[in-house]
Amino acid sequence: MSMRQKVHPKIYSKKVKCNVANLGLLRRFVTNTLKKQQQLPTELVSLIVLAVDEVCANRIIHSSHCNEQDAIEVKVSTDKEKAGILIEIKDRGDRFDISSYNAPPINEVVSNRQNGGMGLILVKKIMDHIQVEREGDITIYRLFKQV
Amino acid sequence: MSNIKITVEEQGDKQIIRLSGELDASSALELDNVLQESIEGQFTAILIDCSSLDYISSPGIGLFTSRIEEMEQQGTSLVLFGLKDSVSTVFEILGLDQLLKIVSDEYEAKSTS
Repeated sequence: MSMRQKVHPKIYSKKVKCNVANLGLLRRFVTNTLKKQQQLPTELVSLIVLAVDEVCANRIIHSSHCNEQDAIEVKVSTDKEKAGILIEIKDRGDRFDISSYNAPPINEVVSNRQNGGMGLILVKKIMDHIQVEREGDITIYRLFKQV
Repeated sequence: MSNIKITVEEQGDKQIIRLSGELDASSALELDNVLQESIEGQFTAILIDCSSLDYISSPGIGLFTSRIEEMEQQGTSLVLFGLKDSVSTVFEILGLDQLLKIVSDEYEAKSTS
């Protein structure tokens, strides 16, 4: 009888303090992981990195209020079943559910000078699925992109 | 350490702001101050050289879009030029390539402003 061992996807993760100065570190981590480990094309990598950056910036500024005592963690893995990339972003900041946020038209965002709204429009346009969960005092954003 | 380098050049009644590096939530404030000073300088045009800009996210884009009205009212045109594909894509996704004046190079930026 042959034994089939379940192969778990490798997860790459990086944790930084909640400071916008660390956004560059997170971008380089996601870029390197997607390019080297997942071997995705540069254009797609740039888009996923942008979406992750927008969520992280939003979480650090508006949910964690740039409190360096708090940390934000980004995990990158492959979802083989759904043939895509799964990014998890975890922090202890306030809950804000982007998945139920109805982005206004871009003209409205521009005339009302809503920079935040622009970032959320980008995330929704780039990623295929967004899920937000709360586990205790931890908020988890799950961003999925089919590849 | 900032991940953006900003150089300002005055050329007659126009001002050129040259950007190099990454324009994100951490570096946007630096450009915000420079851009505000430029607007107060009452130039006929402010040209943004993006040829060495490797990355832009919404806080960076918001600096330009939030000032369109103010600049139009005082008669200053804003032109972005030399965008790399990765930067240009972000404007396109948002549909801002139709709202902002974006041209290919410095020559075109000067002649259209």
